[in-house]
Amino acid sequence: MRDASPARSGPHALTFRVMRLTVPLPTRTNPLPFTAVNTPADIFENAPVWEAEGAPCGIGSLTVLPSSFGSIYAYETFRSFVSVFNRSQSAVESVVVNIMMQTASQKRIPLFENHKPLPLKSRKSMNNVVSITLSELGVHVLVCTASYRDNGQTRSLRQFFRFNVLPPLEPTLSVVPLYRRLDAIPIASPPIPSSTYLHYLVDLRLLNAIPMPLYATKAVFEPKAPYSVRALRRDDESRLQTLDYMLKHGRRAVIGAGDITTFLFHVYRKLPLQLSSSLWDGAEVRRPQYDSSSKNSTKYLGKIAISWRSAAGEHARMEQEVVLSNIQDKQPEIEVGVCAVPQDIHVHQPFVVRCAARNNTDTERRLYLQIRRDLVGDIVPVGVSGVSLGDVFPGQIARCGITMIALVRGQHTLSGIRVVDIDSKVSYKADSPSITVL
Amino acid sequence: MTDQRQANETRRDNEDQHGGHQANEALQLLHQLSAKYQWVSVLQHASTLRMAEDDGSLKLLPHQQLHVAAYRILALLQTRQLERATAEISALGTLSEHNPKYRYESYAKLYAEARCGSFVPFCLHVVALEAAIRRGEAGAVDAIHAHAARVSGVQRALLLSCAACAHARVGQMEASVEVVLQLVRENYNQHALQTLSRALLAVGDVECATNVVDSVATRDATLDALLSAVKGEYAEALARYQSECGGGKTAVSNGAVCLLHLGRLEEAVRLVETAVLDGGEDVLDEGVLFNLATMYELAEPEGAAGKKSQLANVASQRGRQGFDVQLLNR
Repeated sequence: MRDASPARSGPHALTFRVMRLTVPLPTRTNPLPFTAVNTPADIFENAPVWEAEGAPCGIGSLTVLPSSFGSIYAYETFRSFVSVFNRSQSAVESVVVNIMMQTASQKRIPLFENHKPLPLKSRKSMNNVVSITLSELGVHVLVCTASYRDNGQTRSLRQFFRFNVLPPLEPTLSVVPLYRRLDAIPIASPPIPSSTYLHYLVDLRLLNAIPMPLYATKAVFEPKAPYSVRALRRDDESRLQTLDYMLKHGRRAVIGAGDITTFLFHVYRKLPLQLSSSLWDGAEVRRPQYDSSSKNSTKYLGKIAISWRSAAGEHARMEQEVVLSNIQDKQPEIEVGVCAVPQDIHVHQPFVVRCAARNNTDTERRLYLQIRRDLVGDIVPVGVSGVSLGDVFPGQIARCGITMIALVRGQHTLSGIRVVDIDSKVSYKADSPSITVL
Repeated sequence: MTDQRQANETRRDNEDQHGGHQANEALQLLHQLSAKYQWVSVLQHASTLRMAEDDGSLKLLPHQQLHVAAYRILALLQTRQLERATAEISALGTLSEHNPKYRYESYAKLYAEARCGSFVPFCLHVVALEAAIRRGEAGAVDAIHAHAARVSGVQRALLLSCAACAHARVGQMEASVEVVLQLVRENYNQHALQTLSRALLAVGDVECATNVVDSVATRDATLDALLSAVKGEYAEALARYQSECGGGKTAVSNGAVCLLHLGRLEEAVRLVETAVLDGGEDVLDEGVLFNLATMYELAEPEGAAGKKSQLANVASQRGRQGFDVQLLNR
C-alpha cells in the first residue's frame, strides 16, 4: 500500500491510499500437523479449524490480501483500490477526485472522475476501484488528484504512484512461403495453368519472460480476406486441461519460466483466374489474375490473438499482426528448372526439353526463356533459341518446351538455359541436368 | 516357583517400576492437548514429564520417551521455534532404524513381552523432515520423497502432503501440483479432488481448477465461491459466501475481500470486525486478522496502528495457543 507525501504549503486534510488488487487466490500455509502419534488422522477430512495450523498439502481456502504491489506485466488488467481519506478533524467540501494513468509514452488515460463535487466528513474516505489493461512496457504513473474546499480555502492534492510494467512474452514471428519443387510438378500436354494458390507457413514462437508458469495459452489466427487459415498445432489445449488427462499424463498445458511454445498456421489464398492467351499457339487458357493495384493490401495476412493466464491468476491478451514483410525468402526470385527430357535421346534427332520458371517474388515479372548458344556445348537448340514466357504473376509457374538436338553421342549436360527478367535484365540460371545421348 | 514364572514376574516388576499406568496417562494427556492444538500446554506438560523423570518420580520406557520428544518437537515447530526444534532433533542423533539406541532389542529387560525392531515413531520422522524443509536444507525435499516411497496408506498420504508444501516453499509450484496429483491418484475421493482444485487455483490455473471442480459429484460451496472470485465475478462470489458457505471464517474473510474488489471498504471492515470481536475463537485465524489489519490501513490510515494493537490483544486473549501475533505488524 502506498501513502501520500506531504503537500508543499501546509498539511493537506486529505490523503490518498492506494492498494493493488490481485486475483484472490487461495493462500498457502503449513502442512498438516499430527494430532496423534503413530495414528495420523485422515488428512483430508480432519484438518485443523485454523488454516494457520496447517491444511492438506498446505493449501487453504482463505484469501489473504497482498502485502506489496508485486510485479505488473503488460496486457494484464491492472486493478487498484484508491481511497482518499479525510484525516482532519473537520469535514471538507466540494471534493473532486480525478484518477488517471500516465503510460510510458506519456499518454494520459482517464480512469475515474466524480463530476459532482461531494463533501467528505472527518475520518471518512471516498473509495474507488480503477482498472486498466496496460499494453505498453516501462514506467507508468498512477496520477491521483483531489481538489477540495477546506475552511473556505480551495486546495488541490496530487499524488504520483510509479510502477514498472514488464514484458510477459517475447513473440517471434516468421512467415515462410511454401513451394513445391519445380521438377515435382507433373507436366501435362497441353500445358495447364500453374498453381492458383499461394501458401505460407506462419511460425509463432512465444518465450515466457515471466518468472512463473503460464497456462491456458492460446493463439488464434484471424485471417484477413482473401486469406484463409488452418491451425497446425497438434495438441488440443482443452483436452490437456481435463482431470482425466492430468491423472494419466500429468500437467502438459504449462509453459514454465523461460520456456518457449510454438504455434504453426497454414495460411493460403486462391488467386482468381482470367482468360488469357496461352504460351502455346494462341490457345486460350485460364490464367491467375493478379490485381497489381491491390498488391500492398495482400501483404497483410491477418493477426494472431494470443491469450494466457499467469501463475498469479491474471488473464492477459495481446495481438500480433502478420505481414509478408516478415517473409524469410530463401528461394531465388525467379526459380528456373528443367522439368522433363525424353528417356531416349538419339544423336542428330531433335527432342523437346520441358522447362519451367516460377516467380517467387511478390510482383509481376516479364520473363523470357533463353538458350545461350555460347554455353550449350554439344546439345544445341533447333530454330529459335528463346521463348517469351509473358507476364508471370507472383507464385505462378510458366512452362514451355524448347527443341534441342545432340551433335555427339555420350554423356552430356544440358547447359546454357536461362530465364531473363526483361525489365531488370537480371538473368536466372537453370540447373544443368545430365543426359545420355545414344 | 519355576524358573520361567520367576522370569516373567521379574519382567512385570520391571515394567511397573518403569511407569506403566502413570506413563500411559501422561502420554494420553499430551495426545489430547495436541489434538486441540494447545502447543504451549504441550510444551509445558512435556517439560513437567522431563522434570519428573529427572527426579525419579516418573519412569518412561524408551519408546515412550521418544513419543514425548516427538510431541515436544511438533509443538516447537507449530509455535515457530525452529531453532529449538532443530536443536532437540540434533540431540536425538540419527533416527535410522538401524540405530541400536532406538531398537527394542537394546532394552529387552525393560519390556515384559519380547519386542524387536525400531521404536522411532513415524511422526518423529515427519517432524524431523519438516524441520529440515523449514530450515531450507538442501536435499530435504528429496528426503521426504524417499521416506514416502517406503511407507503406504495414510502415512504416505501425510508425507506427500508435506512434500507438496515443501515444493511450494522453494518456489517449485508445478512440482507441488504434481505431488497433489499423485496424492489424488492414490486417494481418489471427493476431498482429495477439492484439495487438487485449490492447489490448481493456488498456482493460478483457473481453467484446470474449473475442470476438476466440475468432475466432483458433490459441489463444495466454498470452492464454487472461490472460483467465482478468481474469475472476477465478485458480486456472485459474495452472494455465494453470504448464502451458501455457512458464515464461517472463510465466508466472512473471503466475502470481505470480494467487498473490497467491489469498492465497498467500510462494509468489508464491518463484516470482519464483527466476526472477530463477537465470534468464537475459530474465527481468530492469522489470515483473517491480517486481512482486517490491511483493511484498517486502507480505511483509517491514521488510526490503523491503534486498531492493529487492539487486534493483537484480542488474539492474545482469545486466540488459540501459538497464534502468530507478529503477523499483524508485517
